[in-house]
Amino acid sequence: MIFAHPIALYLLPLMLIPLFLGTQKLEGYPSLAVLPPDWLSQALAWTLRFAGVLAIGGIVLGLSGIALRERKIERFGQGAHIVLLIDRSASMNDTFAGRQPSGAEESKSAAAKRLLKDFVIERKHDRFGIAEFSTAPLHVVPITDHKAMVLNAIDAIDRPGLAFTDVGRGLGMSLSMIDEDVLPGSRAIVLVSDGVAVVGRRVQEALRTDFARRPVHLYFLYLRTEGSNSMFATPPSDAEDTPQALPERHLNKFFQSLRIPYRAYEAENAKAVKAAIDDIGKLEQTPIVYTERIPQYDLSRWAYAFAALALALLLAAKLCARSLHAIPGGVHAR
Amino acid sequence: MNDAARELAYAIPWRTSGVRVGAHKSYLSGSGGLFRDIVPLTVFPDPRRIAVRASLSDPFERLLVRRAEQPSSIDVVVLVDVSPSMAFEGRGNKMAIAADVAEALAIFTERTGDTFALLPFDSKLRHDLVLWKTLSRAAHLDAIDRLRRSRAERKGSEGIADAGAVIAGSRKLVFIVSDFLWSDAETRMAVEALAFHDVVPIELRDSLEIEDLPSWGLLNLRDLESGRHRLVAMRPSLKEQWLTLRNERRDRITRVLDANAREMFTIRDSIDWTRLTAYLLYGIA
Repeated sequence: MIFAHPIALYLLPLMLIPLFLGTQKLEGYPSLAVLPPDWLSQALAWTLRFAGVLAIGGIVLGLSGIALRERKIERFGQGAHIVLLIDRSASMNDTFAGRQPSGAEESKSAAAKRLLKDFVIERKHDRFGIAEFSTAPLHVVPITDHKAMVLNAIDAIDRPGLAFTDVGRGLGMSLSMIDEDVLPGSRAIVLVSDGVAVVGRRVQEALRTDFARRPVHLYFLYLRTEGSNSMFATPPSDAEDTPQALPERHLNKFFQSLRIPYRAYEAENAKAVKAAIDDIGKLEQTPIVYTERIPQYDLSRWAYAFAALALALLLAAKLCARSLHAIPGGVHAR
Repeated sequence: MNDAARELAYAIPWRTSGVRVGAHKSYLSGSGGLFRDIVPLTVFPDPRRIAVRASLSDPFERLLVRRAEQPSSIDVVVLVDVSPSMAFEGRGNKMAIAADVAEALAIFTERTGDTFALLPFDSKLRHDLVLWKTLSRAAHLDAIDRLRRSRAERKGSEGIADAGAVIAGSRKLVFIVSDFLWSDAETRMAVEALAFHDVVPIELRDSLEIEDLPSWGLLNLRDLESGRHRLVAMRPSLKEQWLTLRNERRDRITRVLDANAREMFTIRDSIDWTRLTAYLLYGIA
């Protein structure tokens, strides 16, 4: 409980006034001795007295700007800390058919945006971070529980991208983001890409050691453009099977060789993307501790509302009050 | 003070033992007025009233004399309750009504030659307002004027016992002007203190006390007697209950008073002088 203007609290003792002083004009009555107090009148009398207390108290508390302090509550939930590593290369802006988006067809990035946003909204207790990569990795949002920030970052992924696809350094950045995250919980990287380039051997080695250092789940969501190579397909023996020719297949093989929990999804349309994301959601259900941040809450409006209510009650009582001398012919004339 | 008030009169249904000549039946006999009896001249030595025929026909040959009634004056005492509850102003002003009654009675005492005493009381006698018995008209007016302008000081009505002690002695005509919002014990005490007198209770009521209260609404009442505040959510059922309780209280009081007083006369809101006079003369209102 905090107060914006605590000096107003000095007025708080005024609350006691209605308990000691009547709020209404009194009229003499010869004798009430044999007329026992009835419960309704007594209840009403106390109600009005407390309405007076409440009115003054509410106004004083409202003036003092009463508010609840910002709080953080640790809670247990199901979920994970997930880094979304998103491809921002120019090809992401094409449709799954490899064309410029037009009409009903949406681009890969738009589909990814829509589905990822749903995912983020659905996963209440997860913390998300966002990294992007194209020519160079971009640090977008660190792992955080500010959902609004994450959603806005996802909103921006269908901006026109750049040319290249440096997935290796993107992964490095994701890992460093995970390093910065100190809260306990299971961690995952979701790599969303529509085609990767070769990961250099030295980068591969660095990643291998990095992945070995910490338990990270890796999900590779490959948005395959129609007609491009599948990463699962074994090429025919006469075809060239090199990272340069089939980078996705070799990246997949590289990830498989990391000996970490890894899953690859290949999606040729939005539906498949949705299925893959649902699957990731199902897999990432380890118990985590997360903090819920409850912002400072302004209670003064409630204080004023209560005061207004109490004043309305008092006003109603005032309007209901009848005076003996207001009755026609009531006052003695001599 | 209107003419009807000046015509107020009272009569007593008993013989006074007062010796001062006045207008009420007494045990005295005199030479004028209503015939009373014939006694020997030795008993009533007034040769002017010799009853010739009676003397001649007396077998013992005594000289007989006629005797007549001799009316005497009485002492009138007005006890006025000046406790705070009498300060209620509704349709009427109770203190003003009490003063009016006292004034009318004072005027009649002046006309008949009775003495008049005014003893306002609350928990004690109000010595600043008291008028001891006197025939002085100026003193009567002064005392009534003081009563009219008086303000309540103490609550209670136990002072009626003091008043009873002050007026002890020969039988007097005692008026009690009060709202009779008394406890049973106080009433019983009053009756005991005034047991030897002819007590005339005059109750002052106001229709705003109960009957003309609004049926609905909030009333902020202050008990004039105890000073306590009370908020009353008036509704027809409660009004009914109040009326019943009030009547029960009045019944209890009258039952006690009836043991040693005339029937209670109630003045509601304003005085009907004709009714009051009829009540005081004939005992019926």
